[in-house]
Amino acid sequence: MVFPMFRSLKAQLIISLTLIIFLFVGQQYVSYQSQNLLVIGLASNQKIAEGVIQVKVLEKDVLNLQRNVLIYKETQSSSVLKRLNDIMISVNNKLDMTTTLIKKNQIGSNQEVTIASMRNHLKDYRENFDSVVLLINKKRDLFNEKIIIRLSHMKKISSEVSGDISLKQFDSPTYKNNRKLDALTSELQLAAYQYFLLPSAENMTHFQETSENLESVAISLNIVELNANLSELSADFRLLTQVTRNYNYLVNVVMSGTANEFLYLAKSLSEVVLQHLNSSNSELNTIVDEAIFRGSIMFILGIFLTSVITLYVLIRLIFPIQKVTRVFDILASNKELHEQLDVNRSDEIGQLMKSATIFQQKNQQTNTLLIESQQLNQQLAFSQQKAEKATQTKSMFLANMSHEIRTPMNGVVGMLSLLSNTALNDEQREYISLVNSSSESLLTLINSILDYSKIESGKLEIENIHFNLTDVINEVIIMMGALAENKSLMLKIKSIHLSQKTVIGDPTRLKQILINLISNAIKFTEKGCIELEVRLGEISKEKLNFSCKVSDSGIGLSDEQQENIFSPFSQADNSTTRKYGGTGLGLTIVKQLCELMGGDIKITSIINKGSCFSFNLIYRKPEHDFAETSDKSKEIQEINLSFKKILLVEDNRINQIVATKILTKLNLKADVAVNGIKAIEKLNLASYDLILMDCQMPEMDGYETTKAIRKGNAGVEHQNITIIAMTANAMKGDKEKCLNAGMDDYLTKPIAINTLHQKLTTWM
Amino acid sequence: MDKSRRSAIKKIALGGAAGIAIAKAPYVFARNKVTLRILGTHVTLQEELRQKAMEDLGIHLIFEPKGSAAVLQKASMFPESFDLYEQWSNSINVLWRSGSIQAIDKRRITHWDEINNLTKTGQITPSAKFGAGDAPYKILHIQKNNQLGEKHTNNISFLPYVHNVDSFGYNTDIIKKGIPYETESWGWLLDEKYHGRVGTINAPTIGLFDLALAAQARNLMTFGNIGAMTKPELDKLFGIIIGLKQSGHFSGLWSSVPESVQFMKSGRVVIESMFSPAVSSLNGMNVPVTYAAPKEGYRGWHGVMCLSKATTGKVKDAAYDYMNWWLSGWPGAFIARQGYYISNPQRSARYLSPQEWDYWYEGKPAAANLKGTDNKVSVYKGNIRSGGSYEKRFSNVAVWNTVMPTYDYSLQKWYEFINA
Repeated sequence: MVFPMFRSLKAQLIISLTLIIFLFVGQQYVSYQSQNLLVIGLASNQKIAEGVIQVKVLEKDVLNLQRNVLIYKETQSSSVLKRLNDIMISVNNKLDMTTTLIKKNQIGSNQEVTIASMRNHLKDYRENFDSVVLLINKKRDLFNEKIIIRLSHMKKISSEVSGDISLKQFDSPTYKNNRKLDALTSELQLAAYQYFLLPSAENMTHFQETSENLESVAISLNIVELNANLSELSADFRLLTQVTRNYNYLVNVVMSGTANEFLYLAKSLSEVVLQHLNSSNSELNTIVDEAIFRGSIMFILGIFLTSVITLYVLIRLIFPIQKVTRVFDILASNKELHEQLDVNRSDEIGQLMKSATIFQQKNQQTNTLLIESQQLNQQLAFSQQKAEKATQTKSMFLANMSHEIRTPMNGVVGMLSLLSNTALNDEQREYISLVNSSSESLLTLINSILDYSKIESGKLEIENIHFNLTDVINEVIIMMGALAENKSLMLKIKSIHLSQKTVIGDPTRLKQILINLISNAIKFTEKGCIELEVRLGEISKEKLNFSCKVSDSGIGLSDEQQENIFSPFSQADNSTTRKYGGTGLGLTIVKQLCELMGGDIKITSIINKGSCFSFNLIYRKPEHDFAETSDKSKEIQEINLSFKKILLVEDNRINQIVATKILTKLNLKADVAVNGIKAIEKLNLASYDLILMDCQMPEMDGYETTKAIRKGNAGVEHQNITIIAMTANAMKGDKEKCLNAGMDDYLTKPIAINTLHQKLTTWM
Repeated sequence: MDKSRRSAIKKIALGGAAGIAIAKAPYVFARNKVTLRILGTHVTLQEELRQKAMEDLGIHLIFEPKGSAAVLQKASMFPESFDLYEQWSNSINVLWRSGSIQAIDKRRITHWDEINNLTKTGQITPSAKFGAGDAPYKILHIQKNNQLGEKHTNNISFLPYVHNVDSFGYNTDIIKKGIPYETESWGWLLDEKYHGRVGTINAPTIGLFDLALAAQARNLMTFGNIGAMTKPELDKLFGIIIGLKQSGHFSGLWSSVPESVQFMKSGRVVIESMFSPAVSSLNGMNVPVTYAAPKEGYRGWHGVMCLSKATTGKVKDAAYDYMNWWLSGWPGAFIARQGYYISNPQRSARYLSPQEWDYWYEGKPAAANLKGTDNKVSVYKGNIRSGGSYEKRFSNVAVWNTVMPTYDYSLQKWYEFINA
């Protein structure tokens, strides 16, 4: 198997590339070597080729030598001698160079012997040529300076002898011999020239025979001088023949032989060198062939290795990467993976495969989680729905409860109110007073619960109306002042700083907060005073901050109590509930109201010393700070309403009685209709000035009835009749619902006589 | 030179111990030392001989070895340039006619009587062939008309000393060994089988006869007298050999013995006319060359030692001393080991072992390994000299190296042959 260090793809790629690089280096090395060999081979070949030329020129030189020897033989020109010398020097130089070539190329020891022979032959040739020069000179000198001169001398003598006029006997033997002598001398002269020109044996013999004839004639004539000359001439001629023979022998045999042998050796040498050149050529060819072969091998090896590496990279790298890519694509598109991944590989691909596997597992986990979370979400939504439904139900329940409780409470309060106006003894009066107090407490409790539930269900809406702050505060002070006085406490405004008189906000809720806080302070203070500090300041062009402190010198709260004081249904402690009563909802509602109106509430308190509730609210700043005249500023005018005819539409018997009694008290008479249908019947039968309309009624409720009246179902004259709703629906939106149905005003049950009176006065 | 001195020399030459004594006293004679200049060929101008002669004779020797042509040329023209001339009998006619040499008084030759009949009568044995051409006996004696002739006189043109018979050698690796005097024939030289691998000597007075014998042996032509060829005969002969040369039959013509060795050694030729030392040399180099004993007979040659015309006085005395030294035995034995014969062999026999004598002169198988002059074994035990004994060889001389009357013509033709 692969060594661990070679398992990573990086190492494998590096090895592959290194292999390829080695291949390139190898190829380069091989080609470099081949080129080197080729260059060396070419250079050596060139040298050998030059050598071959040298040797070939040697042959030519030798022929040239022979030619020049022949020229010299004919002309004896000194320039030829010089040329011969030059040729010989050149031949010697060439032999030197050839020797070097042969030694260098190791052409063979035989060739050195050959060259040595050639040198010897050249030396011999030189020496023999020197001899030839000598011989030619000797021959010439011998002929010109001795033989010719002697012959001329002899001719002179023979001419004198033959021309001797003293011997005038032409037929005498002496005269004949003299003539013969002269003729023979002339013949001898001719024979000498003939031999000199053509040194053949015949010419030689001819000269010798003529000489002998002359001698025999001369002896008989006894001319001493002639005889002596003749004998010397013979000797000279013998020498001439000797010299001539030697000369011919040297030229014809020795030098010719030397030259031929030299030529032969030069030829054989050139053959050998040529052969060497050929073998060197074929070596060169072999080198080239080998280079090509090696190159091809390297090429094939290169192709093979590269293919193997490519295949290896494809199989080991590209395909797995493609596979991993595909796997990741599949995983990314969250499809199901069917391929089997090779996670056993120890390289990067293996790691990728492992990662893919992990990715796949994570994917599955994510899917599972998603499904689970969807289920949870569904459950959550369901739960929310349920909770919302529950809350709604609760709110509905509370709303219904408050309505259902209020309706009898209206009756109780109304009846108590009527009862207290009857003649009663003191005891009865006290009882009624106690019942009244209880019913009011109950009513407060119901209202608180109503508020709380409204707030909790988010159905409490804060009004945004333009109102006068001072009016609200004064109203509360007046209201609460009476309560404080009852406990001999002092309620006073410690300071009031208002940047402006009016704000846009909800005056009712401010009143509720103040009443709550002040009534609490009064409740928990036995002696001392309750002080108010009020401040209104601008936050911005549009917003105003209203802050208020309500301090008392009451029982105070411990730190622990302070922490829980705003929690619903919690009071300072249980004993407080027992001692002071209350629902424990008041401060919770206050806090929530403050928060609804963009503010908050804090408490600082020292036990047994007192508490200070400080709250602030954010109000919108009105465009004009005009203080509206409050309703309270209007004095209730005593208007005579007795002639006015009122129709009371009320299904509840007690409420009919309460309402009728209150109206009676106000000197008003009212017809009663038990539902909307009866009401419309009555309206069609008689003329009415005003309708007090209960909203929830069987058969036809208040809203439908109002709509029918406004349609004119109760006659045109009643189409615009004033309709004041009387409803126990204290929930938000009730008033709007009534007004929307076409009613003109709204009264909340239980109906207070004063409120009713005020409304009636307003509308009639 | 007086006789007492000569005898003293003789004694010294014979006694080794005395030889050492004289060798130790060279200065005694140094002042009066005569210098003798000897012009000749490599055959006899050997350093060992020079040293030995100087030692024996107390003279100074200058050897000037040259090719045979150069030797003749120099000698015939410049008698002043040498004192003694050593060459072959075929040069005698030319040299004598040139007047460069003087007569040798045979009475001053100590061992003249020991010289055998080869040069005296022309026949080594009564049945021996005389051999055509310039047989030495025909040109030894100076006749009264100053010509060279057979008639014995007191004056001789040369001192007879070294001689031998020549034939051709052939490489038995290529050519099957023949039977001496029976199958071996000069005709082989012109055999088509050896085309391109035949060599001959570049000397018309020698090589011409080899070729003439060859042409005759192959029945290409006949000669009236092979020792004196006529011009038509020469024309015909040269017609034959020039034709062969032009066709490339002859590989080369050698001019010296070492060259002939190189021819054979290099394989350039497988058959060539040769001198005996070349054969010994090649055998020593393990080239299997056989020196043929042609059935047509040998070509004989005879060494000549001539006295320069210009040599006189003490030098001339020294020259006679040197001539006598040559016939004193040791030199003959020395050259016998190189295959040459001496004209008075019996005196040299004393300087040869019986085995050597038997081999070299008697033609008997070598009884032991025989050393040459270079002290190396040149003849292995059991070898027999080709051609047999001295007498048998010299009884079969077909022709002697000769300067024929047509010599001048032959030079012309030879020139044509060489350049063909």
